[in-house]
Amino acid sequence: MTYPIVDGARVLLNFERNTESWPLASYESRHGYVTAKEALGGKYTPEALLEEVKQSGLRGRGGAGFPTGLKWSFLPRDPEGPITLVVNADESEPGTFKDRVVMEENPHQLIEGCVLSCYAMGSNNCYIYIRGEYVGCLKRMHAAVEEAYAAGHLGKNLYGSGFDCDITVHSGAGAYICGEETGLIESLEGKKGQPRIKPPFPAVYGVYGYPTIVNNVESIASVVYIADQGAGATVDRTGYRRWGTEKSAGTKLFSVSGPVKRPGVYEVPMGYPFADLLNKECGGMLDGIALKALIVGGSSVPVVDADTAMQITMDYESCQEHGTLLGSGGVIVIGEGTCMVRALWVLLRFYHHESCGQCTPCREGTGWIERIVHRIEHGHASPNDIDELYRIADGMELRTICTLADAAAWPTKSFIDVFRSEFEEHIDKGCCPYDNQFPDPLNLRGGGVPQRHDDPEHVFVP
Amino acid sequence: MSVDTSHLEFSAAARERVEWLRTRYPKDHQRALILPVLSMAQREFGRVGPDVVHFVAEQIPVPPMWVEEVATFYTMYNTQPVGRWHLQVCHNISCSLMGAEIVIDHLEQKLGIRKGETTPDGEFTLIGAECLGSCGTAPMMQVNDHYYENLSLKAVDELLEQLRATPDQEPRAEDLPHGPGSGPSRRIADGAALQAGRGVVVPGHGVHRRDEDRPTVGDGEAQPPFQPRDMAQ
Ligand SMILES: Cc1cc2nc3c(=O)[nH]c(=O)nc-3n(C[C@H](O)[C@H](O)[C@H](O)COP(=O)(O)O)c2cc1C
Ligand code: SF4
Ligand code: FES
Repeated sequence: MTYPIVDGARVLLNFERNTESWPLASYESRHGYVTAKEALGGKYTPEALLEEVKQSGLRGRGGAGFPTGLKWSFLPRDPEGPITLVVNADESEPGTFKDRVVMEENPHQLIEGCVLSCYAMGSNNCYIYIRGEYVGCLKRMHAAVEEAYAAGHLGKNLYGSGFDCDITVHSGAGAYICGEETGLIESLEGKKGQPRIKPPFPAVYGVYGYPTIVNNVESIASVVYIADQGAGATVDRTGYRRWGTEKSAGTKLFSVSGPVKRPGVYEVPMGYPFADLLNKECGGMLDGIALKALIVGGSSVPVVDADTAMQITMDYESCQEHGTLLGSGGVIVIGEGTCMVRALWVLLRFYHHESCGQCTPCREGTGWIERIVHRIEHGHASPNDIDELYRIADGMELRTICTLADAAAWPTKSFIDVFRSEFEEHIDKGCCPYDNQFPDPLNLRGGGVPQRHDDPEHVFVP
Repeated sequence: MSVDTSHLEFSAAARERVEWLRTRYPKDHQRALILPVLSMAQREFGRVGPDVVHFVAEQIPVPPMWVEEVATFYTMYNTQPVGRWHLQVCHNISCSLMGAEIVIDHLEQKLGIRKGETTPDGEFTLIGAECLGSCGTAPMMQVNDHYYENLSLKAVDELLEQLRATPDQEPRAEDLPHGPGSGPSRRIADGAALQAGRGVVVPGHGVHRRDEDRPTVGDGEAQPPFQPRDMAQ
């Protein structure tokens, strides 16, 4: 099946998604590269385009939500070296798989977005850094870039405007920390992906020491729409601001996973109620399973319980009001019957594994909290372990080079805040009330078969 | 320390690819080639041993230490030998919620090994992987380059049969995701490489234990009893 287009929200996935949606011919038939041609042909000066992006209210879709136009304006006016655009396609945040869909199904929109963004920031060179495991995306992006070069959408003197733009697709090799922008830059330079101390920020000192902007795939791909339709205004619902709220403009891709009927990637306007996303778009929870908890923006954000989840609307403000963050839009739905201690242990095992080891609170802290939670899960913990856990998590926050330590601390603290009784139960009983296992919502043990809810293309076997 | 690399040679297509890569990064920053060239070498030679590290360093050229650093930092470089089929079952949160642990238990029983081990015949290595971006199609596993999603236990059984029956494939041009055009690749360590000493095949002991018994060293999993890499080779 193809995904419904919610409320006519069409910024990134504005087409029938199928096996033939990715090639250049298909993209050109949907207005592809017209925007770049027009923009370079005189519709915008670079300054005007940058201003348009600023006005659009586009905020970074990689997790932090930093205003994209503002970030670009930090570039020095008279840079000593060439400016570089780096597209962050490292997507390794557990629960997040939206960039993959953009790259597999609409790669040319990302390329057009790169051309426009480079034009606006005065750069002629762009790297797309894709995580190494995404072999499918890598091949597809290589193929799409090749097509774009052959058709004159990339290369020298684009559309006779005198503007050059080169894109190189670069592959990572398996490290979550390379999603952090300075870790990514180090990795791109051929080093270990250990984040740099900031400042200086990449806009001043980035790849090879030159000014660099790092943006998420979704952010860059959205620029096409902004350049085409203009920033618009929230009040009269025009341009990009046709969707979303004043502070969270536009549409957002949400990748929904967990025991729901139709998991997958949905593009909805910001401010869309979570209840509708769950019940309308995703068809509700699997039969017989009630919602227990929700992680709304990828594994690094605080967890909320079912009641709070149903009040959330999918935008930055609402998430913050309800004690969590929109993050990367990786919506992880947790069903009744899930052991929250075990869920936290699985997350902490990940952060412990992915810590790059530069900062002591992170390198040691992630290991300590993982071990304590493991101890609680297996009933070997003592009553004061919960407070100890909380104290260590507290001590990891805001003390490190990058936010990976915080990303491990936030879920830890929120799991305890929201589900403390479950932690206590483990300790009191001296064992896991859920038998040290996750539920089996698909009845795999009984020979169950997961539903193929996706169009064949999304289940991508390169 | 000098390491003999004379037994290693890139295929013509891989050499072409390296030359193409050179043009994509500034002349004075060729260090950026380390990741792509090392990945290519892993595909060509099936592993990343000290000789491969030195070989890659010579190709770019950069000091071997720079390559060694990269080879040990990133999880996709197999500094330890792996079986012909590298079964990487995602055991992160979304997959766990949908039964990844059941799939892993099943594979452990079926193959008679534990997570992190290789079957005695060198066919399969089983590991628990972190989120691979298929959370919506969980449970899933990556086998060498390929994603297998929406797994059921029956699908897993069938897949194992299929993999066993698949002959070691000839290098396939499209297997190389590091640039346009063609290039060769060998899927993964062949039997010869495994037996040539770099390959220490670890027999599974066939005992299935729940993870309560697993010490939480490293990433919380039991460390496989691989022998340390022989740096002096
Ligand atoms: C540990 C860590 C991992 C991250 N992983 C990613 C990632 O996989 N993809 C991404 O786009 N941003 C990731 N980020 C955020 C980036 O550092 C950066 O903020 C983002 O790429 C900027 O792009 P944006 O402004 O378009 O969001 C990560 C940050 C941290 C601290
Ligand atoms: S916080 Fe952790 S991951 Fe980030 S730089 Fe420090 S040690 Fe590395
Ligand atoms: S959690 Fe398994 S693929 Fe994301």
